[in-house]
Amino acid sequence: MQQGRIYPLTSLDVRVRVLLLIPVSIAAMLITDETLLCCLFALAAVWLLMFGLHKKALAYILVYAALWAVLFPLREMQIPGSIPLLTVYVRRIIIAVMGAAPVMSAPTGRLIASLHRMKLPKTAVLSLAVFFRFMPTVSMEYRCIREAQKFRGIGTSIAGVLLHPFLTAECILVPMLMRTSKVADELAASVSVRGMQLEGECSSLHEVRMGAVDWLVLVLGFTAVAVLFAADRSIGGSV
Amino acid sequence: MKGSERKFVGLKEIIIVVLFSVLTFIVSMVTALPFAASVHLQLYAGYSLMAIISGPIYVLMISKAPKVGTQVLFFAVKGLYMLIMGQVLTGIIFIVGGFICELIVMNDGYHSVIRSGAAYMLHMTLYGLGSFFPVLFLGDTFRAQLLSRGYDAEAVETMVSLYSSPVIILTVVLCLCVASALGMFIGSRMMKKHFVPGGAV
Repeated sequence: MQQGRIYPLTSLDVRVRVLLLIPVSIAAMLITDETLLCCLFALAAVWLLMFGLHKKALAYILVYAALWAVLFPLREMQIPGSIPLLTVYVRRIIIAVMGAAPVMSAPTGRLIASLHRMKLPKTAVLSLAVFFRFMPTVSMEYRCIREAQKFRGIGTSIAGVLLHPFLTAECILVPMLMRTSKVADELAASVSVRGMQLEGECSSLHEVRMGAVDWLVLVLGFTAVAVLFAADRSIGGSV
Repeated sequence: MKGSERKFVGLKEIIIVVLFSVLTFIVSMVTALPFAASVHLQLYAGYSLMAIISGPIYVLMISKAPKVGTQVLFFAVKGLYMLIMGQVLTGIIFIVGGFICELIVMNDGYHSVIRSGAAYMLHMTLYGLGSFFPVLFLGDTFRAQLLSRGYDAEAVETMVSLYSSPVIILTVVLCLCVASALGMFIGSRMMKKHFVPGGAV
């Protein structure tokens, strides 16, 4: 998230973000009409912009546009390969991932406190929190490893990768796993000192409360997805 | 904590398993991309590469978290992703697969290379077959979905027959089993060469 500016939904309750992710991902998979799917994508893009996730929104818009650009020629050619399937499914997956982006961008403390308030078991809370928080950091870790490799002159060129694929894989995998192992240990220590392994109710510094804006966004979000879904059914989308 | 050694996964193990599961999941997506141009290449080479690269991740994961629940969680993360993506059937199969893997390594199975390897083999095979499940179990629905999305009926039939061909399924299973064994072997070698001396375990 960009620092210093407050965006309309920056302080939106994390539970609303999680609850809206469910209908968005279901609709992304089930809507059959291309126009309505584009409408859902546009809503997801606006959703990201309202959290200040401009760069992510732009990246997804570009990928989505590129997939559209290759979709129709591929359909015309009727290639029975994975690329046509990818253009169909990746565009849908992108919408679901866009729905999840505001959950991933929530501060960990707030995320955990909100999931606790949803009465989820501690195992599920921790798994979800780690899942949503670690996903975006993997690419960052990978970039750091590649930078370090470049500095040492390992696997920097395509020829180098092709000539020494196992060495390159080993040089990426080993530091990545060592780093993941370290992150796991640090996270475990952090969780322990926060007392999450103890029985009983966990309190949090973050105030978790559904305000009027949260309810409004929740209702509007559900309504928008329901309208798109109903329109799709009435057009004749049958699954 | 030494005196009361827990059998089940604790918070620390949950974090370890989820982190490594996310890594294997990312590996599966990255290894699919170079072979996306051909279904056959993706099914054989892409899946095999995924099982080979995920091997060291699995070996390190089970050595850091050899507890009851590790296998279920390992599968549940992928199942959760499938559920988020609307693939309910595949998500449920993954979670059931997690319990079967858990049974394989029950009663100290993590100390047996064969049993932990068998659990990994089953994991990778089920995960690889994940793309076959919609065709195998929801054939008509899958066909209708593709047709409603503008695909030519002939192309859809080619795809359905490809994903429901017993020969292809068996070949994919065979590739995944061999690649999983190779992945486990590479993982064990890496463990001795890098992770144990590096203090990761």
